[in-house]
Amino acid sequence: MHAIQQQYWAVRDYLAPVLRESKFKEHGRITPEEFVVAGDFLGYKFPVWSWEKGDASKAKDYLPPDKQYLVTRGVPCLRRATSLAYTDADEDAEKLLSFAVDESKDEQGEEWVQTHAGRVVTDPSANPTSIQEIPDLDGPEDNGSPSLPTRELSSLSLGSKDATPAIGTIPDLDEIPDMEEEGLDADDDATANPTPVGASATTSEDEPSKANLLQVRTYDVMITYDKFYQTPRIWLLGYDENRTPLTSSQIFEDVSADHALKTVTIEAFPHSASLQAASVHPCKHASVMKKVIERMNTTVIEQQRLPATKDNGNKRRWLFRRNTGEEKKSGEVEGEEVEGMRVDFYLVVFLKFIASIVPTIEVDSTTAF
Amino acid sequence: MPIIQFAPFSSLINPTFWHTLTQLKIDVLKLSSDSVPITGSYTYGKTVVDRESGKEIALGSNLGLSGESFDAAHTASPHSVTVKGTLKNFNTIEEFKSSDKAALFNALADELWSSDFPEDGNKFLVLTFADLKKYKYYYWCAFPAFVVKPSWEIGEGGWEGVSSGGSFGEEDLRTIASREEPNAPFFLVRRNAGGKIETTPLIASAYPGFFTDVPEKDRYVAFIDPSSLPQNPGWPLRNLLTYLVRHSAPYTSTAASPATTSPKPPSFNIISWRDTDVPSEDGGKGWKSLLGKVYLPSAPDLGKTSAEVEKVVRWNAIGWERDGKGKMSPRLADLGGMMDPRRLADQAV
Repeated sequence: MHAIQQQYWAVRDYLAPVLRESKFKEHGRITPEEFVVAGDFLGYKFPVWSWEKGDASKAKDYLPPDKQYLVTRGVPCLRRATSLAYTDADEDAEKLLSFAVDESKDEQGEEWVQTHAGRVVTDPSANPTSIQEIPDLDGPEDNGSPSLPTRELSSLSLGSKDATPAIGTIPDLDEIPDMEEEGLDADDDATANPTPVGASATTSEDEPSKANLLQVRTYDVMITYDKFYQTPRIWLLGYDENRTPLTSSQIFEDVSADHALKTVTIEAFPHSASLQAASVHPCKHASVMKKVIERMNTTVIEQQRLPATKDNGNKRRWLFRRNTGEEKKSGEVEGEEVEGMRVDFYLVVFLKFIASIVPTIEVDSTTAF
Repeated sequence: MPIIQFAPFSSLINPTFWHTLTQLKIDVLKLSSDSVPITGSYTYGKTVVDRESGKEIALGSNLGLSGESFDAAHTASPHSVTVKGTLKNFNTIEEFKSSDKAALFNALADELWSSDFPEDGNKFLVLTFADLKKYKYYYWCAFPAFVVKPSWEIGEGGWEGVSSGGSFGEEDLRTIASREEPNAPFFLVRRNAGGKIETTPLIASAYPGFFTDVPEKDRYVAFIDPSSLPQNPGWPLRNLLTYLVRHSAPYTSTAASPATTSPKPPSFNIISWRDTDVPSEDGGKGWKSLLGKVYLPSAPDLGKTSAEVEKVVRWNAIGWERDGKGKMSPRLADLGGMMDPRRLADQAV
């Protein structure tokens, strides 16, 4: 059934006409050319993003051969989305759209960007998944009552089978039967101990408590152009703190509860012959993007009408900036003409929207600026 | 002075790597277990600020392998360093287990020791066994690095921020950040007589000539650091230092000073470069790169004439990757959930 569905999508995608006319402000959809322009801009502003060719046999002819999709690797995900205190999904949705209503504030983007992630984790003990510590590398005995993963791992290392296997979280470690080898590396005092990812980078005085250790996952994030929906589409490949690929159920832990299994599914990645990846289904992207762009456009136009003074106050001012020397590429617009938001920003805005679906995956590197 | 502890490399294997390996195994390699040349890449270590606790979280870069690793023509993405490596795929788990891993490792280390090219100063080895029916991939990576006794030490003050010590001004750092060939793993930095900073990628012909007539305090050797820990430079520095010490006077100069004076212990100004691009002025955190004076407490015996240099026994090398539990053991990538058609069908909506 799944195979038939995939075939159907492939055919539908093949038959769908390539969007030629620019309609991003009216519909929230973009043409492949605009996708490339927006992708170039994203890669220029945020060099963590780069273009990839993908599998040559899967190349889409409406995109340049060397600019098939965008990728960024090693995107950190410090916490599970399930550990964020979700109380009222509707309230979140409100917040998502309520940005930029208060023009007097200087940071229009802020509240909108950080909808979910700004929340404080509630009482950790009530939220066991949030404090699962990184399995202790030195052994199990340092803790009176080891937490769940530690206990499982320690029993695995002793070879006992009576412990309940982890619920889809730990791959079958016990299927590597004593492959441990002795004497490959001599002891070396110049090798740093393997530090668990998630250790604080700042040398803090106080001993970091175990609850503060984070299960840092990393994600490879890809943005492709979806011809049928005429929007960008996001793909996720995740790794756990031991750099083992995540299973789909693990990936769903990083998707906000509203979207897991509804809009986020595992599908064939279009630029690879066999790769399957988690993807946010783009069926609603256009309408959401349209709303977001409409609101942003109003703000941008107002900002552009303002005289360009005290430019250094706002970190995100470049988003609202009139075409000045910095963006020479499309700098034809001169003087007092107001054009609103340019399509270059489409993917920057798109990432902010995606950040609300995967709140703990820091896809939106734009906030770091 | 404290011994420098290098942060070991760790591998991060993209699922596309296993897809491509599967194809290669079925279509090309079949039952052959010959070595296959592949490439991997690493990039700068990052720190991210945890938005909830406000702490900076170290997020070192891993040596990444993906489907493109098999594509010799693949160019690395900007700001990443390509590393050459060798893949050896075994047909059975027994072969995988019983293979002479030390011999494979030492062969690679010998190759590294005898190669005279700093840009190839880091190589890696991947042993794999692909259980194609179960979509399980056993693998073990090794990143050989040479061990010197006694160990490298860091000068007083340890590693400090590149902008805090007063050695470099804002403009100097911008010059370094906008250097040519940002993908070169190692590069040399000098301050010329006019006080301007100049850089060049570290290639065999550049060192030590680039530093001729440059006072010692104005010579810097920099590397792209995959580590982001404050006091632990990344693994590539080990082999860089090995290269430097082997190619620094007086060890290679034929007109060596009389043997009666013991050679001066080598020391280098090392820049651990961790900035992808120029930090924005209002970022507040500024430059992340580190600067440190690295030295050996005593000069290693590397021979004084070229004939002696030839005869120097290769230093011991280490660098097998530990598994998730810190053991000397292979790792397993279980891609059943992402590759098995039956399990995929279950997840399909």
